[in-house]
Amino acid sequence: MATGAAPPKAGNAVTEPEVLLRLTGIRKRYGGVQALRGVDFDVRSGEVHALVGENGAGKSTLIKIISGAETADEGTVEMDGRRLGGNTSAALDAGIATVYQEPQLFGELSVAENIFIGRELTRGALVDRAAQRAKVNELLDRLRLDRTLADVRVADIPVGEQQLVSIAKAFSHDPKILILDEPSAILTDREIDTLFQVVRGLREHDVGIIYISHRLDELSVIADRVTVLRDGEKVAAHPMREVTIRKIVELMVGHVPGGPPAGHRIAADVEPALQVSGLGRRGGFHDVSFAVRPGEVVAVYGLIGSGTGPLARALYGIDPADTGTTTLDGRPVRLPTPQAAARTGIALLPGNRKAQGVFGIKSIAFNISVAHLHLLRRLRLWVDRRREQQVATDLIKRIAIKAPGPQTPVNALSGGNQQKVVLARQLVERPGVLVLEEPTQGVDVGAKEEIHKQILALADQGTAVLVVSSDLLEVLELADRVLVVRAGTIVAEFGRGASQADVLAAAAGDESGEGTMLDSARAAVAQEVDTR
Amino acid sequence: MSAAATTARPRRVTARAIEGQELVLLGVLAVLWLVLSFAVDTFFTASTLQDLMAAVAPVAIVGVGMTAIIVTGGIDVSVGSAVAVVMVVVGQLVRDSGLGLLPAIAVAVVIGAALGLVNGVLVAYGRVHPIIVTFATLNLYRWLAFQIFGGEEVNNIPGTLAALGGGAEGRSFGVPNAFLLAVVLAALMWAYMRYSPTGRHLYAIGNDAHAARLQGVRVTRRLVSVYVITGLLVGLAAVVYIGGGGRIGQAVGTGFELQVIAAVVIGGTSILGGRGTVLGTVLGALLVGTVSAAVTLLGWPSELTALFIGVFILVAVGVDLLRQRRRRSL
Amino acid sequence: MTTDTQAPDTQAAGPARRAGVGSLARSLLEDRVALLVILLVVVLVWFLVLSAGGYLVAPYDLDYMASALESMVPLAILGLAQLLVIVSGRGGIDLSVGAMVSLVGMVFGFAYGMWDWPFLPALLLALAAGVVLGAVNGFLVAYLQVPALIATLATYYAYSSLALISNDNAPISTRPLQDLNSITRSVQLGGLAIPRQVFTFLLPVAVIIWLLVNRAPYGRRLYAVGTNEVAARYASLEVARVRFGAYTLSGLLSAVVAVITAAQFASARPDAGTVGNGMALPAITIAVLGGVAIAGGVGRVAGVLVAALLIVWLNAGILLYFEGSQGSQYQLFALGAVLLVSALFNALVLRRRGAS
Repeated sequence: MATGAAPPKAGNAVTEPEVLLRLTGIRKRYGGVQALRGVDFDVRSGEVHALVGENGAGKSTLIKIISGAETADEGTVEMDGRRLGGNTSAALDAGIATVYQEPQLFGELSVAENIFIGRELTRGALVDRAAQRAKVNELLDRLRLDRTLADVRVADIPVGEQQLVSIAKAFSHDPKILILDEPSAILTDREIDTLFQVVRGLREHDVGIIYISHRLDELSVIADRVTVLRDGEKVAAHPMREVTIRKIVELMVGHVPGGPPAGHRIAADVEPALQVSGLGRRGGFHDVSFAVRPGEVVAVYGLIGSGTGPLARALYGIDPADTGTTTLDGRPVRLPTPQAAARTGIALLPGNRKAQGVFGIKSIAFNISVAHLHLLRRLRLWVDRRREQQVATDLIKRIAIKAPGPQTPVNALSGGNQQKVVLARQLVERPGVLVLEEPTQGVDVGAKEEIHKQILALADQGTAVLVVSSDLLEVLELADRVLVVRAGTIVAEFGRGASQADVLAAAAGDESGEGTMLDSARAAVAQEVDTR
Repeated sequence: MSAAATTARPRRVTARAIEGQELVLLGVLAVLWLVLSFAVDTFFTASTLQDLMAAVAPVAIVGVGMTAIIVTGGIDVSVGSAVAVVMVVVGQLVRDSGLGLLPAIAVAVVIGAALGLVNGVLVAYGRVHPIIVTFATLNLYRWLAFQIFGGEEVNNIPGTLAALGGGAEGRSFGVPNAFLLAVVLAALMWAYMRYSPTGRHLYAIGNDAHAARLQGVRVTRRLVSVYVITGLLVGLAAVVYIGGGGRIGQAVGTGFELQVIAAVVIGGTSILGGRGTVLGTVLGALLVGTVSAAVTLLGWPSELTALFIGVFILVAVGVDLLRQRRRRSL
Repeated sequence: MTTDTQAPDTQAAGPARRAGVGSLARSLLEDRVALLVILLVVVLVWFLVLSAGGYLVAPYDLDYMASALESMVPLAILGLAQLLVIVSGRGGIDLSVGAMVSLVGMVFGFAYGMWDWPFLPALLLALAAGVVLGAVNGFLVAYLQVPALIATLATYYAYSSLALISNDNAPISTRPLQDLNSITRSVQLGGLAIPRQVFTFLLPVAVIIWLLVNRAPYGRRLYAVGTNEVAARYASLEVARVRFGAYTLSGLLSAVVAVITAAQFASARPDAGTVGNGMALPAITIAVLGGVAIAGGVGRVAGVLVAALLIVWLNAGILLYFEGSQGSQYQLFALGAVLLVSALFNALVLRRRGAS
């Protein structure tokens, strides 16, 4: 348990706090992609060091290397001046603890039991519950969490609180470095306040904290330093007080390709293909209204946890909306199941291809045809395999899937090509509406371009396209209009040519103002945007 | 995320001594007994209840171990064949070598534990699904039993083990010793799974074995131990059966595993792992035994017992699933 | 993890360097059917050698092997039922097949043997009964989401007890049933006496199931659901309906076996499928041996059929090798050992495949 023997350091010590963790010249290649190109990074004791960057910038790779889950190709990782071996137990022993986005707790056990799992305090042969409870209470106190949690069963605690318990658990291992990976993504505003209290508590105990987040307004409240990664490089590292949110955003996004690619028509002013009004789902999003015309590409952009995922899933019938109406080509429709959505002509590219998209051990042809078996039927009795192969071969050629042939199992393909297969599934019949969730997540640059090309081509042919994405560049490149979602509802709309900074600020800023600690930061952000 | 703060959450103390499902079970059992005592004059008599408890004892004893196995997400369908092996060995030893009560118990427990060890090692190290492993050992142990039987039943066993049987010698204060043994064992296991660190680890393994391993839980060791313990309990159950007198036929133990699993499932332990207590199992065993006794006393065809057990299993699982679903919408 | 959860473009997994024998061995490991055929050949050669050497009680020759096919038919069909159910995923299994055989057997026995129905209507009634019983399983597992192990355990109890009660624990051996035995008599083919039901029941069923699994849209859906249930839902497949169908088919196949068994024994016995350890266990063994993955999504009809042949001819040989009742006992041993070895082997292959 953390003893907190050393008194909290005064704000400006004469000497700089010591460097606990130092990474030098880290290079890492993943398959075909250079994920990190010579990154330097260090964390001092008692500091909150924010790590920001777009998707694919290299944040998670860097974190994996720090926590020992991956080894760098080149470069050194030093902890307390000593080099670290490239495995998780070495990292743990050296005092590096990681808290992931999804709390990894055992639902049936209590909070105290979860914290002490594997190293229980015992009296004789039995668990010393009183002692554990006392320690946990002490821990919770020190982290300014609710003390009564100790004996509660984890499954009975809301997910946000479980996340805080995860942090408490990591802290109980007396770490010197604590990595918080998107800690606020699943938290309510109140819970975020608690999170900041906890982080402050950690800081007072000289723990070095790596704080990964997209929510820039939070960083200005909690972070001491910020490092910005872009395309695998460290583009900047500054003390937080020397830099504005605006500046961070500009560093994150870098250059932007100008205007729509040649050959893309802007949609004519016709009746919308898809129109939603007042759409809402409890716990996901509320009051969402927008329209997408045939041939138009509309993007829905928001940070993790802002409600974009639930919205996409509602449109496809996986987690249907509770309130509001959906209209397709002027007809009101209900979308209670994916079958209903498919029947009305809506296609979906799911956000997580491994879990939701591919049938890994099956062939490309199988993966493509699985949603269209009714098309390939002869005499309603059997599948026309020749046609299936033909369709698959055509699509492979059309979107340049790099594979030996249609019989290749999909899990033998690279991530980008797997994604193309899932996309191909949606292209067998040109859909009236195509909803894409994170279409190029974890995909290499070349495949990304090709997928974008397909999306635009589809729009040209008259499909109404809705892209739900947290990739800002992608959104700006593809979309005729950008709808920004925050806190479950649409807060802003931009047309073509919007600046990344504006869009990002709108997503990270907040209009709601609700007596929380973030208000001052958010007001500052809003002000920055205004005084552009 | 919605800006609204979460308000009061239901606070539940961890691992209460008696979970909701067990209370329900207790209620059902009480009602059943009440109804039966009216419907059949002979139900609420000492001898019927004694017979009931004696019959339930072996199922409850092994059920204690089976609960632990199922909590870790596993299962063991070989206990029926294992009981046969132990019974034939010990039966012959008692008859031919005049083995006394305590040595017989020792032998039974050791053999049972060895049989359980085989299961445990295959599950924990072989990484084969427990249903497959124990299906296989079900056959292998049955073969082993046949080999030891040598083609004949075991008759004329002296009453050395009657202290654990169902007869008059096997009672203390009117309650069959075997049943008392079952209760004691259940209490021990209950305490283990509630108060001992390794006992709590069983729940963690059932929740998420991979995460448990990463956090310092000795998963392989725990898995082996639950199968060994169950084997040990199988040995005790075998002694109880022998003590009940009668011949040991070659088909002995067939169907035993299903009774045990039924008792555990009806008792509220989730087959998916991570939840369950032995109290429920004992109640489940009593319920199964009561149904069986009731059917006989009411003069109904004995095959109806199986039908009722099947229905009870479904009801228990259904209730469990409903509770899970309600909890998840928290 | 952060939003870029999916590692960008991992290297294409696939067979490593190809090098003669090494790659042959590896592809054998991957192709379960080829491996089983080799094992089958080994077993046959083994017993033929023993027979030639006079070690066996009776000759192990083609005639004997042909007659042994009689027990292969019900096992293979039930093995195919398990294939469908296990492939459907989410811990799919059907412990109640034996009980369904018993119960449908009694239904058939009543219709054909007691109420004097003609064969075809009685057969249809039996099939309908199988569908209903299987549908109950399907409803419990697919729609109520009861774990398959428990659901089919419960129906095992229920069905077997109904079978026993239906005729007061007594078999139905009336004249019509005794005459029915003729459909299981042998047929002469190339000098061998092959049980008729191999051609009249097994072959058609195997072909139909093969077509269903490999050519029909339903087969695609079944494997999709078993491979990745979430992706199947996103691909607009009706997961529950597909699973429901698998269990219903299992009931249907059990009904077929019930009729065959009744004919074979010239009586409808209330414990036809549940005597001893029941028919479910060997059926599951055959499925696992045949390469069906417990996790779902993997399994071939050919594998199940060859596995059934292997088990049956192995058992037949064992009967000749050991004297008296020892033979049937050693069959238990063989079943258990074969199951264990094949499961350990499965686990090994999966681990190797996952590692690559």
